[in-house]
Amino acid sequence: MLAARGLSRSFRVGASDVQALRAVNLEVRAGDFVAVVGPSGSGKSTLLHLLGLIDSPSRGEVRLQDEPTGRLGEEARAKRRLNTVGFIFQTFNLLHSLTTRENVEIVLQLAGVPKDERRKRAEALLRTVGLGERLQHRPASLSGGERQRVAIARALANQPAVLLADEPTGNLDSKTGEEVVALLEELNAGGQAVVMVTHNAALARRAKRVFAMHDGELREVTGEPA
Amino acid sequence: MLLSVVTGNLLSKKLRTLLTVAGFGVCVNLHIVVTTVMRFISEDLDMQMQRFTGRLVIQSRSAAGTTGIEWPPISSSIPLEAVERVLASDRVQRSKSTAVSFAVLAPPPFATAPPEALVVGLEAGREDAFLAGAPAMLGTNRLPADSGAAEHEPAPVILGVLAARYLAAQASATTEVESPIGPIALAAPGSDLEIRGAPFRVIGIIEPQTNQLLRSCVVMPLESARALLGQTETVGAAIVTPRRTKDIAELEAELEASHPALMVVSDKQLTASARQLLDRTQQFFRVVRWTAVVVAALLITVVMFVAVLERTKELGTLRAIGAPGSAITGMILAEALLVALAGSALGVPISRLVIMKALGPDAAAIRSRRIEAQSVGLLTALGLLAAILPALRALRVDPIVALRYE
Repeated sequence: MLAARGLSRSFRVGASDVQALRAVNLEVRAGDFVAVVGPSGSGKSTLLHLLGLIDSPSRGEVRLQDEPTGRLGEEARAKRRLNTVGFIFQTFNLLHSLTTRENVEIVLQLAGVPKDERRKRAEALLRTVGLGERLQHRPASLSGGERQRVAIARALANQPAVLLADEPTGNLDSKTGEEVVALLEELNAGGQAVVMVTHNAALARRAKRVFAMHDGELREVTGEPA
Repeated sequence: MLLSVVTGNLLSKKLRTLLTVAGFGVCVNLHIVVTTVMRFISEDLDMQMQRFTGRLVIQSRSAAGTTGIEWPPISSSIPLEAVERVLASDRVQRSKSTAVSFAVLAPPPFATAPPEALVVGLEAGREDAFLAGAPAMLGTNRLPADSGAAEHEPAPVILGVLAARYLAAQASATTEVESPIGPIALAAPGSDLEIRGAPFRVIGIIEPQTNQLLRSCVVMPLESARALLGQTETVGAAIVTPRRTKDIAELEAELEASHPALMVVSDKQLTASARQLLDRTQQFFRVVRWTAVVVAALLITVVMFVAVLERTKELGTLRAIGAPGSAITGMILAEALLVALAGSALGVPISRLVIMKALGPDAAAIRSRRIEAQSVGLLTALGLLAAILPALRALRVDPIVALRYE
């Protein structure tokens, strides 16, 4: 469903090239819960950006639903991001001028869902993440955990093939982070594929498959002792 | 929803939005006012010139400076005896020809306009040489034949509506008339007033739908005007109508030959000179008008650029979650459109107020919804064009960079 083959990414920093990813291979299947763990700067977020078509690899290829994405133009990539991928960001990235419900509805509007239907779907998703009573609140009046739940509801709005979560608990206290991961587990149990990037090894172990990233190289460590 | 994002962004920066809307509104106001004034001056000049078609103006040569022919010839002064010889010509239709003296009572309300109150001394019974049949709104448009005969009686005056408004404060009685800016008080027919210390009695008010010169005139007997001006052996000028319209060229040639010290100005020369002066004024107005357009466009460009830079995270997030380029540019253009429309909503009523206050009651009638619509349409369209660059800049926001924003 989502595959990375020989994925490399280098960045020009000053006069030298920094190799963020080195020939990474990864396959995410339907119903997978994949965690990528590693220290800051190891290349985890770069991998997630490449998988989510926000960034383009220097070498290698990302296949999304068996479709090669290397030759897609920016608008086609935006369309795939909208309809096939759901993003969850460490800093939530909600739109502050919109209410909770509108933050979820906006992706449905971008996808062309009619107004009545998008309203129903947004409210249902927010109830699913436990925010049925917070529909008209603006992000500024929500706690960190609640904001991340809104972000998860937004990521789920267009029923994506895969959820890509970049340090989803990075800005939350441990209890709230635990709740968010539990929510991701629950969604995965319902069949939702999830790829989560984290530097927290304990949280990573909650995934079905765990990969370690070190200096841009990815290695599967599922079942290995921490 | 996207519109909510746009309005939310505008409301989140209230002061900046307010200042931008006000700035755009000032530009819209300026564009409408200047366009209206340009049209008003041009149409008024046409109306003035129409009334002088088929007439000659005899004035002193010193009144024709390098900038063209002076109209009305306020600074002209010619010997009375010379004017009498001009008027005695067989080719002159005496009933529509008169010696005339001009004097400024109140300065013009705007450049190129005649004075707000202008003394026009005419021979009684020859008013048509100047008034060209302009009817009276109140009272009469004819000076009595025995004007100035009784030494201690106030001399009669016929007022244009602007002059009547200007002199209302010192008149012994006023009358209220409706105008496009509401009721205005005028010196009433029958009322007495003083002009430069001399007593006068208002006998009529000229219909305002004429031209700015007639709206400003204080028509009085020639002798009264000459006394006011201290003209013992001179008058200002002469307005001459040929017996037959087709003889105007011959009359012009005859007068030029017989009175080389005087300047004979034909209706065509007067029109050409006035047009030349008007063109220079219009050029200035055009510069002002295009400045308003450029400032409005620059304002939108700068403000939208700043808004795009400030909202890097928001725009990057939208790109990251899959917003197409059209949605991003649409948001920026919608924001510019809202600012432009709000600015127009502010600028149009201000322009109405400015036109009424600056141009007077009759100019207010020339205020045109078409000019307003054209100005709003032009500035809004250019505002949108000006927002294209910031919109393209918004498209280039890299979601990865944006997502790193804290």
